[in-house]
Amino acid sequence: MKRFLRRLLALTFVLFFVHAGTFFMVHSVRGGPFDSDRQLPPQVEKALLAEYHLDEPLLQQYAHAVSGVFHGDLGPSLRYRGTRVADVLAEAIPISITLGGGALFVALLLGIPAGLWAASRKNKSPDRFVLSVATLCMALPNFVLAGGLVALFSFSWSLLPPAGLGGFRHWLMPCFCLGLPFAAQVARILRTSALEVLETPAVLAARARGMDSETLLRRHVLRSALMPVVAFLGPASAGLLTGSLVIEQVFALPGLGAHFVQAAMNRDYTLALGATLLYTAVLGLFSLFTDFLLARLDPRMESLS
Amino acid sequence: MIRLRQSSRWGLFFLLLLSVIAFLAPSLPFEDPSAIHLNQRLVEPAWTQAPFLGTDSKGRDLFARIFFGARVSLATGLFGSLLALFIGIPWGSIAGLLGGKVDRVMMRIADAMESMPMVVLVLFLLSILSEYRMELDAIGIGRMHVFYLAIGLLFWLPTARIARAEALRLRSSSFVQAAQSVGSSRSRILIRHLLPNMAPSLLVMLGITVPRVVLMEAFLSFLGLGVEPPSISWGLLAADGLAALNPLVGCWWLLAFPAAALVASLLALNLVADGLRDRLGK
Amino acid sequence: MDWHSAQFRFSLTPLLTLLLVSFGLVPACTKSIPPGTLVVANNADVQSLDPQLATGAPEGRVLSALFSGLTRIDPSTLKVLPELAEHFSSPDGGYSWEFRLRPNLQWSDGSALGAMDVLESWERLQSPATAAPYRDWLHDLTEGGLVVEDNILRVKFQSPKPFFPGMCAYHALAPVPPGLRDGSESAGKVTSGPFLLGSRRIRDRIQLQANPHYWNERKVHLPGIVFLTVESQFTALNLFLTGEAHFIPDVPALAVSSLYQREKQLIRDKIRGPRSRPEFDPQPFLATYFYRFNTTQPPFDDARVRRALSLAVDRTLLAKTLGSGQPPAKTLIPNSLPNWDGPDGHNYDPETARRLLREAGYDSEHPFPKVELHYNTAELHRDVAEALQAQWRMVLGIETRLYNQEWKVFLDAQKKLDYQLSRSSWIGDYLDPTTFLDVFRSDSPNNRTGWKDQRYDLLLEKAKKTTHQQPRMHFLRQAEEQLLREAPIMPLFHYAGRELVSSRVQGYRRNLLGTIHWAGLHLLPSTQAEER
Repeated sequence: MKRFLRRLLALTFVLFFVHAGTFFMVHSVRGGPFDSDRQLPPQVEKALLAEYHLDEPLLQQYAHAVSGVFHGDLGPSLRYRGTRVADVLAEAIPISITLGGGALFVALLLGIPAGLWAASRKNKSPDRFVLSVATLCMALPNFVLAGGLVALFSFSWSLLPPAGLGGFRHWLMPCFCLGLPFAAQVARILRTSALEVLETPAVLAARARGMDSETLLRRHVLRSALMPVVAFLGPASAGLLTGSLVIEQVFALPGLGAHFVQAAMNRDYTLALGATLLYTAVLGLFSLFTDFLLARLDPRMESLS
Repeated sequence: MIRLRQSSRWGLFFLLLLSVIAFLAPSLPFEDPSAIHLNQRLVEPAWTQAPFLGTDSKGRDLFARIFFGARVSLATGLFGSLLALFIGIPWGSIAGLLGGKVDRVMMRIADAMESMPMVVLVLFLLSILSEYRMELDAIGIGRMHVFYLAIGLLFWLPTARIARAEALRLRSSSFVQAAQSVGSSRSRILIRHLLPNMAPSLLVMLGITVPRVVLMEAFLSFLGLGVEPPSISWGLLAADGLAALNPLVGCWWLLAFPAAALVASLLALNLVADGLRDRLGK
Repeated sequence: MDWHSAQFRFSLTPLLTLLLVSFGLVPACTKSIPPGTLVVANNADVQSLDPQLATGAPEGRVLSALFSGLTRIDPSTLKVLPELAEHFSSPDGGYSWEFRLRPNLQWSDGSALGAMDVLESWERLQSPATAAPYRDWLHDLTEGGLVVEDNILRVKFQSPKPFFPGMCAYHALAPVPPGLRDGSESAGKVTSGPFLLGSRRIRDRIQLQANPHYWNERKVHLPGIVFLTVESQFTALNLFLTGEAHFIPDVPALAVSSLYQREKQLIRDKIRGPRSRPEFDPQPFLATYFYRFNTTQPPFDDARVRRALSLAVDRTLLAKTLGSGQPPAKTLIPNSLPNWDGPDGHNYDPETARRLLREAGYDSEHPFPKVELHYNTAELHRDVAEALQAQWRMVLGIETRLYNQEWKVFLDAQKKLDYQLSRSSWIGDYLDPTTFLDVFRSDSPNNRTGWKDQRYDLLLEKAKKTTHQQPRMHFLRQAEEQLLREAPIMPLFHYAGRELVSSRVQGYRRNLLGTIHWAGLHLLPSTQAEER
């Protein structure tokens, strides 16, 4: 319990640090939220800057932003005039959870069996097959994969809608595209770590006693072998849940991913900061959860740390 | 010379050949990759003669563009990933090996870095670059260097995490404990035992990092934060060819060849990494 | 919970739960699209639904369906027609205007809409606190120039504004509801146009329904319109080709030639008759693509140098290079503007270009310095910049460095005159040459070239004071001649409207302004052939 609280405290510091870093970086980048190729009349621009306190000294703006965060107020969005940052984010969260959750599901569903299969047939054709396919999946830019799937499933076979929000069918392609590279990484990491565990003295001894490798894998190897996978997936799933701009653009999904990129590009300072804080919190909690899992999987770690 | 198995040797051969051609590309008899030929737009691949791999919408030779694109993509992949490893390995293994407070502080710093929004970081670095671009140009630092730096800063964290997990695992393994019990110093243990033992996992990590770095380059170029003409990269070529996947537009080669180049070289890289890992793993 | 015994199911069980829960979450917030609804893939998400705060084309499309102006522009003839005002006239050649509103107009919540609403809306537009981008449109109203009497609105300007009724068709001058004026309700809640806001999800869709309180409600055929946010042009095209969207505002350049072929194919396959409206048919659009010179710094502080660079560009070749159906531009103002007879403009003339450069003092002993050309990230802009680089190298032997900037940095550099050559474009708001020429007045915030020309300002000032169309147009023509002689800018091509509109959409007319009369559209039920 004490460890848990200490971690939460640490997370608060991380949040503070990230908020400050992002604030000063994003404000120091050239260009402002109201710059447009149709320049506003000077008085109008002045009024707008004053409305959002952007004409104050930077430190004062920072103090304003921090006190806002403490009061649970992320401020108004500068691009979506008349909309609060919290509302913009809240609308995108369910979309991103669905997309990221689906992708994580794909990653585990394909990655774990593939990794174990490869490890149990080391250097034989299943192993080579899994490794090659995994490399292929990681090397394909996901817009290429997405485009290919759309060409096949939406045009050649007319099975799935090419983009947009809707029922279950709308989610299949985006989740698959987002999850596939992660599945490949899970498979590779799991294969390596499973092979290493398979070569430890304890496992070799069990094998010598006549246990076949499938039972070994399931009974003894999996838990230790999963550790690097969990270590990888913890932060990775935070990334998955907060979305991917490319997938969102190709499939026209209104998830969080675009806000991380476009808010900064639009100089929507408040939205960029809000999105960053959200991501930091999610990432912190996932990493906490990961360490907790790792400690459970390997009791030695608890005693060590 | 480490003896590698057959497939790894092929991979190594492929990568070396590609790197040499890419490096020498400007002095080899390629078509000019940016020369526009309006009378031969979107010509299909001729395979055995001049536009071997076809031309793009401006009549530029795709064959030449792919080899010139290799220059940027290979360099980004190489330098970006190496930088990530150079920061990540020491960071993660020191944290894992020392444990306790040091570990916690180091990992919290890593957490904070990981949460930094990537685009903000890249925008920030680029705006510094654009402010001083005349001065930096004079000492030979261009956008690509900033790009490697940004990518290194973005990708060292997963490496550090893997390194730490491996260090934690190895730390409690019998032989490190044995070494510690006979009084070896920590740095000695780190150098003698940890790094070689970590190598297999880190090679896998490298196999994962390089593709991600190369894809990140494509993504940033797509946002206008990456390479700029006349430079070309595979990611940019593939993004330009995206239209080809529309049933209406038939120029499949615009997408197929850049993607194939990307996949083939990353596959070769993995073969090499696997071979090396098998050698080192023993 | 005992993690040990759970082995690897541990990671799947909570995930599966999460997944099922979230799949339950999303359908709840996505309503299905009712049949007969027109689906528009509307590019970027709109910034605001407040007609006085929004600018930009995606915003314009949504707002013109939600809010009616005093007038509207007929999409086929471009004539100004009465809308909320049943009659408008000027007794004194455009100095003052009288709008008589229709009786019994209602807001979409059923409350009355009268001339007083228009007056208060325009006062809101003028108030600095509103920070409205189109505030300047009413800047030369006379003191007390807005009067309401018997549902008649009288407007008086300091100088004649013959095109003012046309401006009233634009959403910036549409009346806004009382709740928005006093800040008590959010934008879009109450509307005056043929449609009202059903629901909105940021970056997803804006769903509109027919407004039962619209004055001409009987003439509205569509039960509703859905504007989807689709940022990728390829995705928009995919949605169109699978029949999930009926209208997309632009197409990827690579698809242009294939789309022309598709049109022919549709006629050959008898899916569409040869006389019916084509789905793809790029038409001139009131917009010009040009480059700005920074006239405050050498070498571009010399008009001869600027003209030399402009004359060295073969615009026909450029348009062919781009291959995107956009006509070359020799002048700033598109010739497609009705009642406009513009000057000849910048023809391709390498001889003169070289001579001008020599006269400016550049020769083999004094070579022209390497100049930097700024453009923002987009395939089109990159292509144009590369083509210019090649043409200048060939014709003038000038070396340029291409500098690609991210949008906001690019704008900031342009605003601060921190550039040498910078890519630009301008879209006309209304059918009058001043919508382009006013941009380069000395005091215009959109000038951004550092070019200040007394003669140019004077000509525009003279035109402004002239009530008769013929001399007025003469002054404006002289002004454009002056602009092209001094060449603070270099026009390159005019944009084309490249929208793709399903043949199921009836009543659609392409036009110069991109105006869409949503109330006049009608969606035919899909036939077997199209569903395939």
